[in-house]
Amino acid sequence: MALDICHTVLLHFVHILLWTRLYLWTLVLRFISKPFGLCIGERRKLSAERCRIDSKNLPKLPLHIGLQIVENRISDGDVANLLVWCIAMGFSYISLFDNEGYFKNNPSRLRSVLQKKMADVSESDHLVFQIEVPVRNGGKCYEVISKDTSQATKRTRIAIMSCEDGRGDILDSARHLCQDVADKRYRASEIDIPHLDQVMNTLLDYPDPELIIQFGRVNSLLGYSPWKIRVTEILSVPTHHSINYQSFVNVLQSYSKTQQRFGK
Amino acid sequence: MDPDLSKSNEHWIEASAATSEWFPEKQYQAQKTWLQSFCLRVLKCGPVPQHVAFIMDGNRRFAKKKSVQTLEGHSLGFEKLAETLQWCLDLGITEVTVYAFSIENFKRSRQEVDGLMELARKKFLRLLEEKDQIMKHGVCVQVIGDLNLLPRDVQEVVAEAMFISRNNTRATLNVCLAYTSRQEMANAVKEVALGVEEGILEPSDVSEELLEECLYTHRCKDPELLVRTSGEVRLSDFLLWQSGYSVLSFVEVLWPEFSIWHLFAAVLHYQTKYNAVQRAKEAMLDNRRRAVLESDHRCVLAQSNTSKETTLSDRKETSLSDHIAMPSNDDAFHKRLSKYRNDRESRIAKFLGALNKRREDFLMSLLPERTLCQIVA
Repeated sequence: MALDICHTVLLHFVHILLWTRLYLWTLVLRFISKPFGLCIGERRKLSAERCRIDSKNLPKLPLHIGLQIVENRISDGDVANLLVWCIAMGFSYISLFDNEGYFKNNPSRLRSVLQKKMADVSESDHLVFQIEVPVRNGGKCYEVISKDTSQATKRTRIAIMSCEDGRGDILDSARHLCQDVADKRYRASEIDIPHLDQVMNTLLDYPDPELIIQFGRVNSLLGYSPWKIRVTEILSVPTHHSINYQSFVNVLQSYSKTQQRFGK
Repeated sequence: MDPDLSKSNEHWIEASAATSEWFPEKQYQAQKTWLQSFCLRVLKCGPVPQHVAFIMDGNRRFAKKKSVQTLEGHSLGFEKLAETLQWCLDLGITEVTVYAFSIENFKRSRQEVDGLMELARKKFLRLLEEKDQIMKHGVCVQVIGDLNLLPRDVQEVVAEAMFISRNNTRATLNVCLAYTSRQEMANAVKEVALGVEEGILEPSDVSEELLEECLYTHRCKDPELLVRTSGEVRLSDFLLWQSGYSVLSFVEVLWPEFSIWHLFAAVLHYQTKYNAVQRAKEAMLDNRRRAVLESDHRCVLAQSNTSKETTLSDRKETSLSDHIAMPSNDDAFHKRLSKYRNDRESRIAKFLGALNKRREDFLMSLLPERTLCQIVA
């Protein structure tokens, strides 16, 4: 009995130790690396051109990047910064995921913060983004576009997702297919992976993300769309609070070093 | 029973346990150090995952590193698996799922695929020989994947292992062979659609729970911890649906180098994330229950609307949100709702009964002739 208590106390001690280590590391990232980053050249205003050049220097870049925020407190400004860097680097698709639906409940707030942060970056006039919110149960996709552009410029598409868009997407597709089967438009035996993939794409026609960056200390996908993450690289960063441009580029660098064999 | 005979029988079991390939318990107990036992006891004071999934990656790289044949690397990987199962049993992890062979792996060279299939056949044959060990540990062996893709001789041994252990409940070993998660999910959707086609199910009966019942892993709990070795940080089409709320642990070492300390570290990692993940999981289960309730409401309303032939679509909208927001006092509506729920549940029960029957028949069809004869006898 006494031995059991000793063991439990010891285990709690180890947990606290691990937690403290991670917490201190987060603090280091937040308060020390930022001024340090300023010393080594972040003092100058970040320009969209620099983002573009940095992205060109990376050997491999994702077409679709997923940003998963799993922290209790979410900082709009820091998330907007991350999005601006992604847009300036020229990624075509971004998924912004938080499991409780913080961004999903108010996409226009995200847009206004994003536009403000965008203005802080020089040479960013040509950047166009489009925020999309997939809606469940066959509803229409909600969209906001940063500015009215009639000419065909390249725009970055941002999807805001929460945990209900993970397994929920598959459920919706399954119901859709079952309805088609009930209406005798399909035979059930025809259903296979490409078929289901096609139906999933009608909900949100983004390619599968090549990279997900998890912000937060919980190493779990927490309902991130299971269909899409087949070969997605999952990298983890302890916090998104006060993240600076250089650490973001470092994450992309470690992504570009990964190799895939696709089963071979 | 003749005491001498039972004694010699026991002795035989002891002897086979000493050389057991699948359950190297003796070896493990002999090698176990004082420090390991101590850490084990400490770790067991916290939450221990019931179900751990492993992606055993890095066998080929290990073989290359040690300059041995690729297949030798895979054999070493198997030995490591047997060892790991002992560690898990000792820790109190009752269910283990391993990714042994992906459908994508069929793309590898003919020689390697044949070698791997031969290895699987041999190891499962060996498992059948060690039947008394399976029964002693009470392990239920399940092979998960599209078994149709396997060669006939592998199908036979695999089916037999599943058949003889099917009633064991103390521990579960799931081996994913010819498996990819997308294939599994597409197959689940297909099963549900077949139910709709046969007129057993309505499209609105489809729910996350129902889809889960149609996955190959319908008998398993979701894994709470997923370990991938060799430093890769992706899931490679493994348990994508089921690992939605698992703690992910990416370990740097190659699979044959995986040690009990890596497992301890992974469990410790799981413990520090336990509360946060548990909260998210409970929220998900709540949402899921609510979604089913809402779907029932919608269906009953749709039914009554069609029967009354009300054309006021805006009225339907408001009444729907009202009913969901607060429980209606309307008795008749409640009666219809509970009737609908009962009907739905009986439709689903009927569908699942048929599905399980089909699964059993499929398993029986894979069994070799000799076993079938024994069962009939």
